[in-house]
Amino acid sequence: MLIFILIMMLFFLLGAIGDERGVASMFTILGNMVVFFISLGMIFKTGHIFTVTFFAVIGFLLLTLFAQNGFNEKTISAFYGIVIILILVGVSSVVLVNLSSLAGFGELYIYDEEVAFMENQIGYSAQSLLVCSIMIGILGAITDTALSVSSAMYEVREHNPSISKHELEQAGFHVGWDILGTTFSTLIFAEIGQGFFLWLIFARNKYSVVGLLNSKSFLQQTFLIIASSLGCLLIIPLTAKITAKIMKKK
Amino acid sequence: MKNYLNRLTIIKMIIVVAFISVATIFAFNNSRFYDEPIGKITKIETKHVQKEKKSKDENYLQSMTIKLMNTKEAGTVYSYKSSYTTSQFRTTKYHKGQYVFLKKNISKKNGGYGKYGLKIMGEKYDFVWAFMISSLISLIFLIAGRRAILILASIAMNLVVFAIGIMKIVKFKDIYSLTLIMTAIFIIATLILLYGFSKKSIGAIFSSVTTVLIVLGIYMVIIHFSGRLGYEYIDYTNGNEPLEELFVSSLVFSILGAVMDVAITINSSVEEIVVSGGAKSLKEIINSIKGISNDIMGTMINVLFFTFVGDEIPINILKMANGYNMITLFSNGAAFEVIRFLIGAIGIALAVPVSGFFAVVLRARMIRRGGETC
Repeated sequence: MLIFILIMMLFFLLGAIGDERGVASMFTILGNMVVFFISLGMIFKTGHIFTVTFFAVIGFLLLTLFAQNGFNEKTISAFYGIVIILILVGVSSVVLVNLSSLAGFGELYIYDEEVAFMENQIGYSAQSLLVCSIMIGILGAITDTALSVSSAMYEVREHNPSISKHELEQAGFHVGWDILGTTFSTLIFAEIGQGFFLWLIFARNKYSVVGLLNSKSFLQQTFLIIASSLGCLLIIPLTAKITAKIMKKK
Repeated sequence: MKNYLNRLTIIKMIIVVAFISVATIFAFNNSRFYDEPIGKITKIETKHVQKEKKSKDENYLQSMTIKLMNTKEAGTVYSYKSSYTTSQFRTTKYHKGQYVFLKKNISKKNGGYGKYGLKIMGEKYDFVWAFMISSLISLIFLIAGRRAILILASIAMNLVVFAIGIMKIVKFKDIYSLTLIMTAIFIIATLILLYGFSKKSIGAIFSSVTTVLIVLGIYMVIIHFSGRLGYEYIDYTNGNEPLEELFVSSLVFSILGAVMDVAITINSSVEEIVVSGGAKSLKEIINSIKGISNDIMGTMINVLFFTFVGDEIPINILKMANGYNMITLFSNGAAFEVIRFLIGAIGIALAVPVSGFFAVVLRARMIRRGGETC
């Protein structure tokens, strides 16, 4: 009931505030939800975690990037940047997660009564699932950053067609600097809210700073946000370079 | 000039790589600074063993040699055995060279091994933090230049305020008051640190606070009429906590960053439009705000969507393997992530008109004069 009311309210607000593109956003969000649940089902059914993640990412990008913003120079540049960052973050995550044995239950899983008593020898690799969750989790933040950079560069080029490739690239960098602070805030507060009940356990158990730095539960909970932040940082110069190259080709 | 810039970039890159390497290598080898016994796995052999009848996993046994790296007994070598299964949810696969926390004199029934009753208590993760945080700091400096200090200051400030706040919230007294005080500090500190004391940051502060209060009000009203949720299904809860108050508090914090992002974007844009004299009337400004909102709302909402659902994938698969279908998954825990996402999305959408209102009201005089003065 509550979820239904909230969906209706969101639909109404997006339509009222953003016209037809607002409604299109709503369909993109619903589409992303459908892709997410199908992917979850496919991972469970087939066990091919990375193959399903690959197709899920393609599906998410088709919806978020191209269906929502059209097939143009801006979205193509952003697409290249996103793919490169996803590969980079994906490979780094595989290495880090494996090297540090990060996957699986953290030490605080016993506080989650529902999960603590579940059968855990389930035939799916917790490490691969963690990497898959990182790759899907960072997608929103890096897409937002890449699109902001490429869209702003597009506007600059439209207003000043004779602008040099280097100046255009610099314009992309400047936009990146401007949005960094609030992008980090968005990610940090999303994490603070999402992991809230876990933070309460850390506070109740009076973890020291060193204790937190060596806690599996703490690192698992924050890994996604740090990976997203690193992805956003790297995608700014990358998208600026790719966009300048594509836009100044003609 | 181009050569000079290229050389400068190469020098910067070398400094960054050196900084990250030094920080990571130091953290990897810092066992002597710890009081707890830390061992290094110097030799490891992995053997496939007979799996349990009903299990879907393969079983492996690891025989290893662990060298104690600190305490008075540093240098002592122990042998140790540990088993893991392929899914590794509750078991761990160890690697050669890995550092682990050890404890001795643990009874056999509690997992102690050999004559010393040795047990691996956990893995050492500080080097992962050193790698990630040094990468983050150096990349922020590399990309944002001098603004990096402000960005890092705002992150540090928010984390300190949260750490202090959560220590008070955990006492479960005055949760709503604490949440509102923390929210106000988060918003004011973040926006003033990042954008200085200006009309646009003041506008963004008013917009963010108002939006959060409206969203909170909407949630309370809907909950009042739709009935209490099964909060005990939220992960990491035990039922003895004031769950509704804590969940509402977590909702407020979840949406803060996104709401501030929209608020500052709208306030900055209106300022640019008014100062440049690009818009001649209120109607034109409202149309511009609509255009901007079309550009930012969808992708901002997606940031929250992917951040919230991404984290839950491993636990969702675990639950599905334990007999949950999509519906039971949704009504047990996952529903709260969906509510969190929807409330965040509503916050983003509402922040547009609220920010537009404050941006226009704060510049009403300039708009009336046609924006000829700043």
